[in-house]
Amino acid sequence: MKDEKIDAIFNPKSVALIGGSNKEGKMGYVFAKNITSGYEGKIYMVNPSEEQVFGLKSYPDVKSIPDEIDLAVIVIPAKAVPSVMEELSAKHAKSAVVITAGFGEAGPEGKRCEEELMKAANKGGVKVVGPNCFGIYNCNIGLNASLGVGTPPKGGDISFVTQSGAYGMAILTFALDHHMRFAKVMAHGNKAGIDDHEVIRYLGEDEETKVICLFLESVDKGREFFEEARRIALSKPIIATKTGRTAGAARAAASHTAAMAGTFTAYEAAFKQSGVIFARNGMDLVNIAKGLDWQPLPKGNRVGIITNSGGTGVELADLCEEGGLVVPELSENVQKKIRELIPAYASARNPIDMTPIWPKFVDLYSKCIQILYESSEVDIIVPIILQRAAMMPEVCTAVADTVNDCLTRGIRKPTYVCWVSVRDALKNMDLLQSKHVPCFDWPERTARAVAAISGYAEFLKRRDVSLESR
Amino acid sequence: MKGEAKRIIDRAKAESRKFVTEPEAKEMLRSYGVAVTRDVLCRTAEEAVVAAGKIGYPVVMKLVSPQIVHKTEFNAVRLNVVNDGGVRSAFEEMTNSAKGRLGNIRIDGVLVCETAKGQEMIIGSIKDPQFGQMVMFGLGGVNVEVFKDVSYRLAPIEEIDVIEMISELKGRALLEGFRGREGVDMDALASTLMAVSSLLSDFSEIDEMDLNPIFGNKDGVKVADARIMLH
Repeated sequence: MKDEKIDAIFNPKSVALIGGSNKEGKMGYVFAKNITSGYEGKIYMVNPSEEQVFGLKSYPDVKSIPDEIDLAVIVIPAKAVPSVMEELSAKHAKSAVVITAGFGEAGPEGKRCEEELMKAANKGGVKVVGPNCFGIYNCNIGLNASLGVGTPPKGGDISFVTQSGAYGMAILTFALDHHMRFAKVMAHGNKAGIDDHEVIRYLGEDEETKVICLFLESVDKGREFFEEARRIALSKPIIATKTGRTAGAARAAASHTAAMAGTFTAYEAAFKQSGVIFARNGMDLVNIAKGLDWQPLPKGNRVGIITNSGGTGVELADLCEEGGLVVPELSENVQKKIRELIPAYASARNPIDMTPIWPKFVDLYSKCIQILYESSEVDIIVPIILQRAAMMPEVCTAVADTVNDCLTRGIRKPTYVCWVSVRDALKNMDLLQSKHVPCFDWPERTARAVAAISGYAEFLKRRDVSLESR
Repeated sequence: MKGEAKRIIDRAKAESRKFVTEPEAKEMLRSYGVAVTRDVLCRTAEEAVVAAGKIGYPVVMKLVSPQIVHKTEFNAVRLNVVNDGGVRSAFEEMTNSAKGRLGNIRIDGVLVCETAKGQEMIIGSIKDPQFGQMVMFGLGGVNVEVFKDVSYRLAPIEEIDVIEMISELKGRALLEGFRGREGVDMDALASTLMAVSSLLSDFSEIDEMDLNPIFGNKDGVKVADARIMLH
């Protein structure tokens, strides 16, 4: 059973904007604009000093709204929020996103105000997101109840929960720039009324969500989070960045055990044990999500590297092996097929170094990728597209098409591109990513994302989860 | 099982102790099916000599007092005691030295223990404010003290967690036997870790646990010293 209250946040039949404004530059203006720009449900504006907001009738207060409220979005000053919450409670509104800052994060007075706000919300069972947050999206129904500019395109299946507002949104827009598409997004800020485990439980059951991304500064109710994550991760990947890893210093050393533990030790253990994929930073989070969303899961950890630069291939091989992946030497049988294509001085061993013979790149990349798809000796294909190769749109298109041909033929093996290029060539990355062939910048980020994805696949294998159709 | 351990914890609480003594800790472990070194708590030097004879030389001797947590600081441990004379003098020295330092100290006796052999290991626990009881495993000696080669999991753990904990350790080859040395009974190790983790899950009162050292060889795994701190 889906959590009805959380579902009201993402799929509201009616939205009330408390503090909507016609004045450009005001927070209430941004929200009025965003909410009215794509969402097709009923919208109620509340602002006692306006007749209309964005052409919609403006109500003087919550109780004057002649309808039930599924989601209230609150952008009025902090001191006024608790009394509005009282009204919402009296009206049995299902949920409220409190954007306003100046609560628990802002000293003792803010903390008291947050307590009042929650007391008021709990009276009527209003589910609170925030306060001090960026808002929420349900991209697939065009709902943008956030401070963000523009509503992301529909058709996404990644869901993203972030404690940080502005950075979370930067991560989101960066991902959107990379052709990633999202289902549900929630910035939950102070998390006064919602716990991470409730959100992941909802997203775990949500059919529109295939990959769950978390950007966390802390987890409240760690045990519940762990239990929920452990259950969900078996069928749906959860990727988490946990920041503030070093601030919580280790406790005073009373024994060997305590001397070696800090709080992050617990997070790390919980992630490992539950199958949550740990991403060291926001960009790793994006890369891992992209790889998981677009490509099948690797069935093993053997990587085949195809490169147009010997040095990059060697660096990537090092980083892969250091990350727990294997770059095996290909058998004579496979090498023979590759040697027929490449110059005599090039290497077919793995990394397959084609050398910089760019007039033949279209043909070479395609055929080498195909050979690795057809070989049972590698589980993961990483073509390095560097400099001149990246400047050739025909190479990028050929790589994307070859990968998709092989996947369509039913060879469920992932390809992740290691991309190294000048700025002018960055647009060619779109030729790959618009066709869902993920590109990662430079060898280090590539190796980290691939190792994390492979680690998740290995976790599932050890638990006898079938990867066949994943 | 749970009842036995609870009785021991309740007694410590009633005496306002923040820890249980070594024999108590070992009793708790035993009740969860964890193998501990053979030992006898002796009130007199003569009792100690008889116990050592039964256990077999060399023995380890440790002073037991509800007032002593860190035994080494009190010079209250003697390793490799090889004969009756050694047992008698160790008994006198340890009790006198403790009385000398703490005056009217309550001494429960001296624990005479078998000397366990094999790969040294450590199992510990901490209680995280968010995630609760966590179990730690590492290889003893320099591996834990210098290299911090340990792994953590949330209690309770399952067999798959044990396998993954062990595979995380850089020194894991030591458990399989290295350069002709004897390996460790992995089934015994796994059930020890799981048993400790269920003890932890059963008692949120346990703040910290240090089972150190633990010795493992092809015949099994034995906890040689145990310290359990209470909330």
